[in-house]
Amino acid sequence: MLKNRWATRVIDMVPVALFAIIVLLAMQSPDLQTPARVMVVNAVMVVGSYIFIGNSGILSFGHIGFAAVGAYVSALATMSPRIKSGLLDGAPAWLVAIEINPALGILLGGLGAALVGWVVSLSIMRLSGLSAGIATLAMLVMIQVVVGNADPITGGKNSLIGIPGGTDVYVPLLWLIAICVLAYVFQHTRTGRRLRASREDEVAARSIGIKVTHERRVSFVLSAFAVGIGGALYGQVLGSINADAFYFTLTFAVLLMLVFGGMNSLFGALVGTLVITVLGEVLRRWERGVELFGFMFTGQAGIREIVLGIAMLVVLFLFREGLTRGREFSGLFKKRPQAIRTTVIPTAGSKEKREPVQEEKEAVRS
Amino acid sequence: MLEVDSLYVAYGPVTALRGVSIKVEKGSFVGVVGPNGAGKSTLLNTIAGVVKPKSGSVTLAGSKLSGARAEHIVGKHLSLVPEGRRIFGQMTVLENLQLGTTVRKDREQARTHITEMMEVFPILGRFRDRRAGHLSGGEQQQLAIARALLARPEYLLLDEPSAGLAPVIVDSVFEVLKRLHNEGVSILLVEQVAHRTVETADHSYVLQHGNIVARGTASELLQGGLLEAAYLGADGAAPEPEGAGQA
Repeated sequence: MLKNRWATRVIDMVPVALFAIIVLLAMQSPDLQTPARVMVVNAVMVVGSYIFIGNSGILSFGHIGFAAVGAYVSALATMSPRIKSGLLDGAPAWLVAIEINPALGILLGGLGAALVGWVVSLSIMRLSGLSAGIATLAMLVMIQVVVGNADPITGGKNSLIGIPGGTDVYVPLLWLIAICVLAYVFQHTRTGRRLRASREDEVAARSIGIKVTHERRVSFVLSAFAVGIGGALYGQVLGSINADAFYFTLTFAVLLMLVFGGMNSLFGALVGTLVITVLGEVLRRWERGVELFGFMFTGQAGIREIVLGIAMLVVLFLFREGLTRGREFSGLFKKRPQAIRTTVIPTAGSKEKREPVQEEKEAVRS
Repeated sequence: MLEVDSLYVAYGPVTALRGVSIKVEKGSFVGVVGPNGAGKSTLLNTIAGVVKPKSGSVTLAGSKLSGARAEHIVGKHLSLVPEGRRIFGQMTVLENLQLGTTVRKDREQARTHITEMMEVFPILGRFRDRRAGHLSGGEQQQLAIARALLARPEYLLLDEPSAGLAPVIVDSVFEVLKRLHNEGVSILLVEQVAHRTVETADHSYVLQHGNIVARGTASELLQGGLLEAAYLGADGAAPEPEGAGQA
């Protein structure tokens, strides 16, 4: 049994390894290096969002706010004082003077986002369902407004440029692996299991003593940390950030990836990121014009968004739980349920057999 | 003793319970019967902290429960098996059982108790790694009862455990409840299968339109015709057929 459990866990990590291999192969082509790096950063944010959304079942529209916090905290902590003094008029002296190692800056970005996540969770995690989702949307708007208007600290609507980091993919990739392991371990902890129980049935979860608000809060803070790391990586990979980058476009891109792959599994988060990134890149190139057999094919501007929207609808119609149907990778190799049985609760004298009830027929069909 | 005193519960303008008072002595088996919409489930959910009362009180061994959240009430040795079983269908049987021990601090003993529970309900041991949603209705009911028992409750509240089950499974559910009662668990059973419940319980209450309209032992309720009278109500509707609530 123990061996089986460990084997399952190793198998579940296979998609992470495959994802890393695909990224490393893409990095061999100069043309694909930037999309590959962005895909890794997106994957960190998608998996980070999955830690909360996937386990709690609450659709958060506000997680990209944490990416903004992570990106700005990391950028401000790592940029050179010379650049900061040029960009931030009226910034506090300590903020201008601080300059730490980019690797530490990523961690600091994650911690900053976690701190904001903890403060926000004190109120939002008391809500459930759609109310909680709408509240996270309000949180996103508030973070956007603050970041976009705190001119002396964030530069307001102007971009922060000259963020140090590097163009290699190894640091983001290592962070992605770490966040995937974190997400996977978390979902198998007692807190993760209780949270998934509340996702299925909140009333039943509370009735067996699960402190749903507390469990949600833990996952929300952890998730904010991971998405904050993604935001910090975003700044370091691209070298510049601005407030508008962390708003609805990125929010819907991340949610699209998560829902497309299946928001109930880590496998789904990775598959969604990979498929949407590849599809998006192909369509982007088509929009620009692709030469094939001597002919130039150019798609209409905006075709990318339309096709991605249609793809999303098709997946939701065919697989309500996303492409992976909410399964981890090891779930692909598991047998389907057995046929209907005719068991009764064993009590003295109960030897009768019965016809299956409707629920059982449905259970077997599902 | 679990004591409910003058409980009023309303859902907006609709009053579900109108001053209901019941008592469940420690070690006793108490039934609450009544037609659909009588307020039976509301009564259980209010005791378990899922629904907040408008007024009245719920006390367990002298300490007040009303107003406390459901997750805190479980820690006070009172477990609810909700209507419709409400097992966690996407999780395995074993995970469901593990979740039943959430409020317990004795981790090692809880693990042993899970093993024991799979011996008491062998079907759960047999399908421990299967998704709970793939179990049959009767098996899911066993899982729901086992999960509630893993919190080591002194009082077990069950909301229509026979609903949607075939007659032979209903028989065995009642056998399990009798066995638990004999082992010392206090039971408060809410059911639509009126005769069966009244006959099994030490003492029963009949609820109608949010009021207790009759109470007593099986002999008092059945022989005196109190149950039928209460069930028929003012409109003279026919009493439930034998085996009501079965699939």
